[in-house]
Amino acid sequence: METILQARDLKKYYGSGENQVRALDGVSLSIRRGEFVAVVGTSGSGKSTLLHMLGGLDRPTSGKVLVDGKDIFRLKDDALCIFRRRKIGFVFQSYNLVPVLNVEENITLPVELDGNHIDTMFVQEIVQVLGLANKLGSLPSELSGGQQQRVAIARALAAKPAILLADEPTGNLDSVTSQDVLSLLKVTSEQFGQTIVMITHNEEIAQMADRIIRIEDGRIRGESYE
Amino acid sequence: MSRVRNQKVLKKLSQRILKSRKKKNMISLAAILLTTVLFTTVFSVGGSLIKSNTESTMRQVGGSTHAGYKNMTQEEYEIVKQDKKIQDVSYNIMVGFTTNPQLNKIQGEVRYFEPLDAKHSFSYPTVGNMPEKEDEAAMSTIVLDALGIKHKLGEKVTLDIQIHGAVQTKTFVLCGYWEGDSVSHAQEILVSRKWADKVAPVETTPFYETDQTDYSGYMNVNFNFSNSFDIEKKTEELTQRCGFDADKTKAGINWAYGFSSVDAGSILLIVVLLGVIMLSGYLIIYNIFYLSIFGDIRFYGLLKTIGTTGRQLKKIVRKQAWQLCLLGIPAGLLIGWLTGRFFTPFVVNMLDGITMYYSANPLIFLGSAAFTILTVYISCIKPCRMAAKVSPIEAVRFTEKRKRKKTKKTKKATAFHMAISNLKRNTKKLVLVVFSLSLSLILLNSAYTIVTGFDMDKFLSSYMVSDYMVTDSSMVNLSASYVEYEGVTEEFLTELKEQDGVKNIGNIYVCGNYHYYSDTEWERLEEIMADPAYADWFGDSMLKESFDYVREEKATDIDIYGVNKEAAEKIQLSGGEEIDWEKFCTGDYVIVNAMDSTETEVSFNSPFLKAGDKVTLEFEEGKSKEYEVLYVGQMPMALGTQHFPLIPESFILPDTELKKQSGIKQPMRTVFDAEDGQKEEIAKWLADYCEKVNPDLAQRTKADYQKEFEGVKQVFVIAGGILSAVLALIGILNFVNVTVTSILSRRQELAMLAAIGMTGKQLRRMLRDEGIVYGVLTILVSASAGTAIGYFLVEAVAGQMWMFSWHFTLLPIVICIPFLLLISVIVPEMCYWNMCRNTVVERLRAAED
Repeated sequence: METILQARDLKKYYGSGENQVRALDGVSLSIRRGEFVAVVGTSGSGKSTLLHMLGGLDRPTSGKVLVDGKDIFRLKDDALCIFRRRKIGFVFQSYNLVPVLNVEENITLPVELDGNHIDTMFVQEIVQVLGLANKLGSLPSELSGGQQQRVAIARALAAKPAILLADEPTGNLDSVTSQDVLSLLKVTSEQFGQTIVMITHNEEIAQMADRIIRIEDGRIRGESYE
Repeated sequence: MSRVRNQKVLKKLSQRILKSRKKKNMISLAAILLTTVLFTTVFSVGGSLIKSNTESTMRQVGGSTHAGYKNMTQEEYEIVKQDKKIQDVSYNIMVGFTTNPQLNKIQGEVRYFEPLDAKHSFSYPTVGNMPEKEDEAAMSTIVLDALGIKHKLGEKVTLDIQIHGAVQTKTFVLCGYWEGDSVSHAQEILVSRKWADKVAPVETTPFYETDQTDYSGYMNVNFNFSNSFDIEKKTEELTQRCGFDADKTKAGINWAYGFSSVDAGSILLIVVLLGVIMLSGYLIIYNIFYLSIFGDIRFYGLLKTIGTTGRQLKKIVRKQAWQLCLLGIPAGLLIGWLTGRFFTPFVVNMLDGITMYYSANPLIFLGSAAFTILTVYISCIKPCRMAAKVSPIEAVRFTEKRKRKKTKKTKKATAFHMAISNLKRNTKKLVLVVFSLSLSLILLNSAYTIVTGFDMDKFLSSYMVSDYMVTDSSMVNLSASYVEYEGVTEEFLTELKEQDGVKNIGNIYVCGNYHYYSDTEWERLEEIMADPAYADWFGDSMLKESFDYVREEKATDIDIYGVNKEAAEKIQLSGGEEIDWEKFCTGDYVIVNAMDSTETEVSFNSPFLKAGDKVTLEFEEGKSKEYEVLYVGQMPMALGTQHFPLIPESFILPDTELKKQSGIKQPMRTVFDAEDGQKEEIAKWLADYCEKVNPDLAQRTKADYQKEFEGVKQVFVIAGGILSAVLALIGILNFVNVTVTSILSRRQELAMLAAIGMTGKQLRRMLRDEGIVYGVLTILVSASAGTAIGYFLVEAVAGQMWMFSWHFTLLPIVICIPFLLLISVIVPEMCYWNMCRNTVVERLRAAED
């Protein structure tokens, strides 16, 4: 299968001299279309930084990230932003829903920001799959953690992004809900043909991925295929 | 990149954000409202002032058209009428001037008017019609009153009219009248075209080819341009287009139009006010928006993470601002206009001879709205940039950035040191609050300096040197066309002497004559004219022609005063000499003045003659007499004619001598004092006399001027007070806002400090110390740099007022210190208590979301 996401010798340093922190120290990886990859590491290993780089949220000190063979850091801020909302969906540990918008508005926000027509059929399908059909009018504050995360997943999927980046998506959920959410994530990604990169420190959850990348002190320490 | 259709979602987002932050919005809304109110007030007072000035001037001039040509023939009129760039062309034909003795004080002008021109000249009958039949005439109630004719159509009016140099008497039937305006220079009497054509048919010889003394039969053509901008140039161009000789054809420009009608001082004042308002509006709106965005920075970061571009974020912030404007501006315009209406009378009353008009010109509202929008726009620039620049990663962990210094000394962790380093985190905020608080103190100090700098004695000295003054009413009516210089009657003087408690009756007579300079006098005058100190006056290009004429003739108009003993004692003599009345009243001596005595200051550096010099004064009928100069001295402005002739030279003789030489019989002014305890009675008698017995007399009392002075002072007290109060409010709001947000954004940090054992007392002390630093810095800034700014402000506003003298004072700032410190202690305290309603654990958790 073709490679959709590629990192080449990514480095991200903070500070200088003795105080220099090497959050990423030369990471290279490539991910194929449709793959479900889990990135595992301890706190401070650099896995979140890696995810931010892959999604174009932050710029590396050196190195490249190629999406569909295109170097995303050559784009200017606003162009990168537009690229992000078209190609990449994010799911965060803390859900990061817009508190002033209801569930439906949250889900369609990235599409609307892009000025595109909403594919109502598609959104309805996602909403059905994620079991949010009767919550569309609610505000995020009226939902449970699991429900909020499902809204976040729906939002990430609504723009039909090629890549879904998830940062500890189950970090704030209990184990039963975690399993539910993850299953949904997997099902939807298979159904809609999306690539998933997920960060976690939970081995059990990582086991659900197609491939596990282990990261330690800003470097890749090993890979394993399930 | 293609244009994306995302306006709707951006609008939705900004509206939702607004809705969810009601409290914050109330502050922003209040700020926008306040700014609009301030702008509208200034604009509407300014607008009303211009309108009052324009309308009053129009009434004085007697016309509302932009310009006009005087003394034209029918042929010339036809040429003007053809011009495409002018409109509302209409004319009147001069017939003659009234010579009825009852109309002596009124310049009665008999003309045929086209109806449009009559309207433009404020001489259109409100009762009855324009004259059509030969014996019909229309006139103002002032003319009717002077002639003693009832305001009734059909009344017979007999007028003596000078036409082509000869007086004709004609009895008209009153066919229309209107309420006369005493302000205007002349009263128009309207006659029919038929009669005008009969007695003064329209001339065919151009006026400039005649000897230019007979106006009868000439047309005055008035017209408007498309707008009133630079009428002078437009008129010049029109003269060229019509092919008239600009030197010979007299074009009149209505000086009621244009900025020339508002003096530079007022314009400066308005510019300064607008600047101050804009600055204070900017300070508060910027601060509120900045802090509001700052508080929501994570939220904006989140929006960016999910794909909102910087430009879209900017738009979201701006849209919020505009929506607040949509609410705030209309309300502000209304409130501002009402406050403007409230202030207008105070300001208009400061200016003499102006009737008040309120202006509701749309420009006032457009201007105020535009200035507010501009202020909001400028205020939003930085907050927008901040929202646009937010990095999605940092937004997630955003706290105030600490600038790292290379060397860091370890200081004791006392509450005060912590407070100082907390303030250093965001020096911009510190500067902003200190600046906006200082601004209000500086303004208060300036207003106080102005108010206390008004010198009552200086003010009074140019109007009153005694308790009471009586003169002919035309002397005090600035717009009177005819001035009576010997209006104080014998009857009045006789009655005055009979009043109990009246003392020091001084009489001042005057006789204006053409004075031929002797060679020695002329030499002296040449010296004065060459003196660089007076170059402004003698070098004035507008007056050049007149001075050339004086040089050619070696003669000019001068005033010769006659004074009795009591009045003579008021004369200021050089070197502070006492007048030797016995010697002076022999009639062989004269007092002469100096060039450098002005309205406000009397000094004798450039006397026109020196003591001992001889001078020959000419009187009527070729009489003349040689006098010896006894003193150099100045007639006080309050007792003089209050003219400003080309050569401000004047002589003073004893009253007996002046009466003997000239035909002068009655005084120009009479001044007197009253015994203590009888002042009010005498004031009452005087007012009564001048109202009922002889309405031609006008009286002024010292008390009136004191009242007027207090009035002027009050304007500054009110305006300065309110402006300072508003700015203080803005400053305090800014301070509250900064304190609240800084405490809110540090909730977690403060909770952490509490968790590791900082007691509530220590925390409060730290917060209080932060507040006190704001207060102390404000005081320091106001008292140092503030005094310099204040000095310029005061000079700009009151510097040109002669009754003002500058004194250094910091009293208002000193008085404000306790209040300022109190506020800087109370505000953080209140914020702390508000925060303490939650437990430490709750606060720690709350900060995490």
